[in-house]
Amino acid sequence: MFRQLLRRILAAFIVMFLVSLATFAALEVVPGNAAIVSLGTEGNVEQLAALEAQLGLDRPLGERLFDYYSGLIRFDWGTSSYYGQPVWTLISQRLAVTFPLALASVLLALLIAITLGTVAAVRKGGVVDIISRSLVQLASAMPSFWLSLLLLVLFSSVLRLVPMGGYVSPAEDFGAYLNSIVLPLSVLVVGETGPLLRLVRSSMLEAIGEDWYTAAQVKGLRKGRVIVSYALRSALTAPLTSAGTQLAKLLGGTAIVESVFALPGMGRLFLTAVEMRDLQLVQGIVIFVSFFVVLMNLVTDIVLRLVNPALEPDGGGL
Amino acid sequence: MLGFFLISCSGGEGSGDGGTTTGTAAAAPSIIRMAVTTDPDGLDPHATASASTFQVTSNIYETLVTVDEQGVIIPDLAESWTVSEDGLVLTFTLREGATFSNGLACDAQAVKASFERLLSQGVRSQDYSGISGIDVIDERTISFTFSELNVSALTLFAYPWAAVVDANAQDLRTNPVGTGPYMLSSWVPQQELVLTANPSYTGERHVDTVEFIMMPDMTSQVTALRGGQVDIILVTGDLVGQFEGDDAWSILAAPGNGLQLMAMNNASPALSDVRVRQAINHAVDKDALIEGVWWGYGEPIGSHFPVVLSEYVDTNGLYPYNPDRARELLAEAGYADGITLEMYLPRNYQEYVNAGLVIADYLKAVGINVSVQIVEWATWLSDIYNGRGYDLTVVGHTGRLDAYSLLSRYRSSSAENYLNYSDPAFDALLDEYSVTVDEVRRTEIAHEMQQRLAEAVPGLYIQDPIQIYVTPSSLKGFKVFPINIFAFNEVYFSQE
Repeated sequence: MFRQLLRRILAAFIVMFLVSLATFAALEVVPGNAAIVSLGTEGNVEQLAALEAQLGLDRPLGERLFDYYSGLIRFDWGTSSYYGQPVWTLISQRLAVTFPLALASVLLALLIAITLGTVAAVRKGGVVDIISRSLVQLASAMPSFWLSLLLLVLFSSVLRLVPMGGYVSPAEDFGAYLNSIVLPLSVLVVGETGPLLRLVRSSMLEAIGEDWYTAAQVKGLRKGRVIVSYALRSALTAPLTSAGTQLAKLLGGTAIVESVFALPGMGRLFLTAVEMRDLQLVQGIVIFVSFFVVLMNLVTDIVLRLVNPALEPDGGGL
Repeated sequence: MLGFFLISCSGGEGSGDGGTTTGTAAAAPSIIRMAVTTDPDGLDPHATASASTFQVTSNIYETLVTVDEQGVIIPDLAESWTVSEDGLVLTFTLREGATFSNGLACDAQAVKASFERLLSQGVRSQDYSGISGIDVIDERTISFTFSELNVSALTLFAYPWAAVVDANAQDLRTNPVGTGPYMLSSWVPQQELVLTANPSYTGERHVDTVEFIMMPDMTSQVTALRGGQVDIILVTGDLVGQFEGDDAWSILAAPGNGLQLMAMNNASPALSDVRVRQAINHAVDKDALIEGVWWGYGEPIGSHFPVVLSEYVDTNGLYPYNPDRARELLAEAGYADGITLEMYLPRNYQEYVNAGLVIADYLKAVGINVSVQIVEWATWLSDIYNGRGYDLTVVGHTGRLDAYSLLSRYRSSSAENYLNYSDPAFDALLDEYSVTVDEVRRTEIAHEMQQRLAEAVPGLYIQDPIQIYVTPSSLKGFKVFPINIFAFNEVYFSQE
């Protein structure tokens, strides 16, 4: 187990390094740089050259790469060329917004999906099955920006139940914090629940179609116990794996939902960083998010093994 | 009864007192919150060309002189100034007791250091290359000597990028130090930027706190205004209707100092023929375009000149909407069988994309086939603006205070001449303008330059956009200036 963990961590660093190299390459190829964007339509060639020199963009690529990685080893993530603030400060500000939101939305979505999905599978064709399947259809047909605006106008403008106006830190006022995230959280939960519910339902259907399920019933075990202790356990592999991936994806941010609710999350930061060609900031976010993807895969594996000890130890792969 | 209740209620809250307080700490605690779509590009006015920066920094720093709503130069950090007989030396007298927010005196020496910083590392340093000497006469007097006559030299000292900063302060991008009415309290990018009263500022100021709240989505901004979470928003024409005729809101709609055009690459084979450019102008119904894309909120223009400037002359109507005439001109130019042009549109500016698509449709109707490509802003700046690899593109420009700085991008040799326009007679007019002291003659030249552009149509000049701000009607003193500045120290809440 320990050796395996070590191997995984090593692999994670290699993945992060390769991803960041690819990011460097991509930003090197796309037209435009931070100096061009900063000058906009009022600049000229001389001003551009001066600003590029100021930002260090005129140095050779190898030199810039070396500087970046040698800084990173010392945990110096560099400074955002657009905001002029340290990259790590910006990322940690965003993480405080995005992480609780992402975690809460995935956990809530899992809870709803497991409950409804199990009932829907066991009582296939029943009321819960039909209603939950229709709701999943409806939820996946609604674009998140549209649902966001709808909720915003209804709860904020018409009913005036929640304030409209960005984000309040929980340290400042916990009640106001909850108010500021309840709508975006709802939108995310609606988006996450659908696919998870479908997975739970189909895995459960498969599980209760197996011979051992029939055998257990014939043996006279109570139905509820068979479902929860045996069927659900084996059926959770796919949904849990998917939830882990979803969580990592949400940490990368949800630019649209964040924009509508004026939340200072990771997605908007990343979008701005790319648009402004803010290389240091793009790099920082990419490395951070890829670290999280790797970490989430690891956590998912551990959780899976706890839930279903029957799973084969992951011997071969990473 | 209700009226009485409202008055006593707001009196109890004590939110401002109608604008008679000036700079006393005893002023009623109050706050102005403005929704903005993007963060400033740092808070160092010398290090950027970004309007979103200047709208914030103009409240933190002062310039030697500034402008009123009509663009007339008025005192700011300098209380008075003189121009030498030959026009080459400008001497400013600083306000007595001017102090930076860090407590250091802002004397002539500090102003000199600030301008030396601007000249050596400012992104706009080119604009100031005519300055050959800066001399400190005494503690409150400083003079600038120009190597050659520049009649619009004074306006150079009013632009927000010429703000006086504490040149010795570290990292002005995140720790701005100026002499203005406010100073930075906190800034969380993409969330909010908060300014608080600068205690060393003694001029007019009614409200102690100014908050810029970043809200990228326009519908969210409108909802926030209605919910009372922000006090000032800038809206597009489609969203203003809901506020019209409602006494609770004030709408401030005025043409800004800016212009939007479809630029043409005058060096590309077909577009180097003036008849093709004229045909394009005849092919587009400008009024319908403004109606369709900007809901009518724009003043049509005939040349590269905002209507708000005093030297503006109306050049509309030279090439009215006339598709038949457009086809004739194309045939005369040898394109009776049609041509194909490449149009690049900047994705981040939805209105320019929309305008481009509408124009492409009009052009198709007269036999000009337009292949449209929508590109990211950084790509646009790199390949179109700096690289000049395009036929047609739609974009906007912010105005300047005088015709020379506004139109000098049309000089044949200008590095900013992305339209590749070349007209020796126009260049000569620019030269003449910059050394003509006589105001009447100068205005004549400005008119002549506009007329030349309107005839040669290096681009399809669309409009001077009308900016629409919405505020609660109790908010007073909010003004729109011809350069990218705000004066929040003049804003207050009335109790009427």
